[in-house]
Parts: sequence; structure tokens; C-alpha cells
Amino acid sequence: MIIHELTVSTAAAAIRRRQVSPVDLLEALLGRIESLEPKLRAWAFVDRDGARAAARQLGDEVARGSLRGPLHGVPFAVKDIFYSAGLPTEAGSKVYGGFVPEYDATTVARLKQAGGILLGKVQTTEFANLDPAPTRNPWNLAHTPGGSSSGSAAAVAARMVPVALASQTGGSTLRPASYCGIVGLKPTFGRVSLHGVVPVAWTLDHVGFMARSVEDVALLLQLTAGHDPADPRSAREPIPDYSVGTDGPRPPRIGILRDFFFEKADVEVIRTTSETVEQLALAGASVEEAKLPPSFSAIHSAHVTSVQVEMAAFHADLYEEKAAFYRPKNREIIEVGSLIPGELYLRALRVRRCFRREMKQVYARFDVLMTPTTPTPAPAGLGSTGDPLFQSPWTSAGLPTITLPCGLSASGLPLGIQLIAPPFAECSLLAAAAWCHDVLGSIPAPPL
Amino acid sequence: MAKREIRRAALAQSLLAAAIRRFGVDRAEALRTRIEEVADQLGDIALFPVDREEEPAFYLERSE
Repeated sequence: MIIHELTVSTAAAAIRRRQVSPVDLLEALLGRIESLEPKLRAWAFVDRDGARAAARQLGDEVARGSLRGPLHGVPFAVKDIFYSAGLPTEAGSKVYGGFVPEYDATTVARLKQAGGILLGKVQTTEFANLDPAPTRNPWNLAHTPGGSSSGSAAAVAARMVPVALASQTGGSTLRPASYCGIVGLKPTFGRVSLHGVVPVAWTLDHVGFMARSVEDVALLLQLTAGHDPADPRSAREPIPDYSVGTDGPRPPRIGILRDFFFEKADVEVIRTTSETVEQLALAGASVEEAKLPPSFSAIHSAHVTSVQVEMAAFHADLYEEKAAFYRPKNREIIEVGSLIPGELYLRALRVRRCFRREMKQVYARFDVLMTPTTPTPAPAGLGSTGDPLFQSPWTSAGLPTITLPCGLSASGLPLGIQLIAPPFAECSLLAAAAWCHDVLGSIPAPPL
Repeated sequence: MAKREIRRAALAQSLLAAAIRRFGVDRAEALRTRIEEVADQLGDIALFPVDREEEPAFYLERSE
């Protein structure tokens, strides 16, 4: 057993069976962090002392036959926009420099209640937006890992931690997950509480999960989904059993969206996606073409407008005091966002609602829609985290999405496919994803 | 000039004027590229036909 290769589910099972102790698992991951972090720079803060104390405590509980929950003894990482009581939460910005919250974000608290060990805070772009984090892609250090959940993706891909909390306002969970060759899940808007998460845009923010299996992200969703009175966006929809065995992985009905996505993708992504589609069809999936609705033509503009105005609104007071602390791209977004007329911002929200309504006709015949996750593999250079073009429409409509690795590019960088489902259809999304992942297989670990 | 281009140009001019008033000439000039991009995006939104009865998607409805 290579301990740092354990997924959340296999680690939790090994701990329950007393094959691995929480202490041994934690120390294996800390060793991995020590050796890889100088070149990957995935972590904003590693809570060695806190995690070790928790691991000892949880190990004692296992010995006594007492388990707190499905995550007992398993370490997790948290993007540094999630409040974590007693730990720095700096959102990748000097503006929040030195800030230590007194309470956990609801999602962090729920994972701890399930027995998880908070290992530390992973890097984010500044305020989870465009100014990049220092993190590098584990597959090629000269390439971006994507963002804004840069540290989450790099840390999971590099086997420093089996799972990380992320977020998505445009493409910030699925894009870095795809660039780093792992699984990334963004649930329906409102499915998972955002209480205690530094906002980017209130009507667009989603909690996301990154791991190395569909089973793992399903478990994380199960542990964190559900109404939170502290979050006004939080849905009251009942929580089904998300474990992938429930629906039973079965060949899904897949609608391929080629318009726009195949036009924007590079040749290699088109070829790999097409080969993936063929592979899934041969394995029994029903695959047909799907067509985008008319409102798609304005959805990217509606998305960007929403982000800019809401960022400007959130930062208005802070910006008065601390403008010089903001990095250049955020400065521009906040300043120009503050100039956008209210009537056009509201029109952007109406376009988004129109798109969400029109999408019902598109996915009516399918279990999931499919696109490549990104137009290219992870770009070279660290000055940009790539483009959320392929995610932002679904984020704008609040639809649940997942990315699965589907191969490597000629240059050795991961590629992914994105599945999209109707609102609150995470069960069928996860079942389709599990089936596809079984057919496609895993990609190897990055050559670190 | 096409309607879209007229609208885009008017939006860019209006945003630039607002930027000058708020941030001064130098900063407004530094923001010009982003202002042009935003004017493009706002033009898309302004010209997209939205039904009069379509309400904003504040905290999107739960299951529609």
C-alpha cells in the first residue's frame, strides 16, 4: 500500500479496518508536502501541529472503536477563501493579510464533524479571481495549474492530500482540476453552503470539490450538502444518497455540445474529446448531438458583467481604504465594475435566467451534456490561469458539472471532459461520471 | 454603422467619461482596454432580446 496514493474512500476504509492509522496517513502526506512544496507552492498554510493533534485524537478513537463519521482520520485541504477557525485566511491578498477568523465555514465544520482532519489552507488567486497564485502545475512546473483553485488542484494531483475544497464563480474548480488531471465537481448553485467563504460574486459562487475519484467527490458532497440557515442562497432541496452505487453506474444518454466548444478548442482537444466520445459510445453510452439555445450568445457577457459588478460591490468599502494592496487585474475589475449601470447589470441577470430556462429544452433528452473541459491543455507560463470560457455558462445558470480526466496531450499535460446536468440532478451526474470514469480509466500520477 | 457598433461605442464613451470623473484622466486612460472590453460585453447584453416579464436571477430559483 502506497499511503499517499490512497483516495478518500480507500483511506477511510483502511482506517476503519485499522490497516492504516490517521497518524501514519498524515505523516505520509506531510512528508510528501515537505519534499514537493518548494517547487509546487500549493500551500498558503500547513497546520502541522493542529493536524497532528487531531490525528492522534482520532487514532485513539479508532482504537476505542469510536468513529465520528465517514471521513474519520482523513486529511483534507481547504482553499484559502474558506474561513478556518484559528488559521490564517488571507484569500491570496495583502488586503486580508494576517486575518484569522474565529469560526469555520459551514463546509469546513461539516467535514470536521465527519472526522476529517484539516491539514491546511491551499493557495488561491487573489480573491479567487484573475491575479495568479504562485502555484505550479505538477505535470509541468512551467505551466499554470489553472485557477482560482490553484493550490487545491496541485495539492490533490501531487498526492499531498486526497481531497480539497475549492470554489467556482467562472471556471475555478473544473478548469484547474482538468489542467491537473483530477476529478472536479461543482454542485448546483445553493446545494452547498457558502457561509464563511469570502465572496467573489454572490449570485455566481459555488463550493467545489477536487479529488481523484468520482466516489470521493460524491462523498464530499454527501457530507456538505444541505440547507444552512446562515447562507441565504442555501437550497432546501432534500439530500438524496449521492453514493455512486445508488443509481448504479449505467451507460448514460449523453448530449454532445459541439457548437462553440469545438470551434474554440484546439486540434488536440477536439481529437481527444472525439476519441473519448467514441470510446464511451462503444462501451454502451447513447451519444447524440445537442444544440445550444439562443441565449448562449449573450451568456458569457452576462457572466462577466455579473462578476464585475458584484466584486465591485463587495470590495467597495475595503477598496476605499486599501486600494494600493490590490493586485492589478482586481483593481481594474473593481474600478470598471463600479461604473457599470445598474440597469445593464440587472439585464445580465435576466439573460442568465433566460439561459437557465432555455437549457431545460436542451438537456430534456439526456442524462448529461458533454463538452471538453478546456479549449487547450494548461497554458505555459504563470501569468494567467487560463480561460473559464467552457465553464462560465453553466456556472451562470447554476447547473451541476463535473470534470473527468480523459487522457494526456502530446506534451504530457492532462485533458478533461466536462459533464453538465440539470439543477439538483447530482445523482444522475455522478452516476454518469462514475460510469464514464470506469470506461476511460485513470491517468497516472504526475511525474514529480 | 451597425446598431451594435453604435451601442458599443456609446457605452465605451459613457464608461470612459465616468472613469475620468471618478478616477481622473490618467487612471481612466490606463483602464481604456478593459473599458472597451466591458463596453463590448454590455453591448451584447443591451441588444439581447429579453422578455419584459423575465425577472433577474437573484439567488436562482431552486428546482425550475
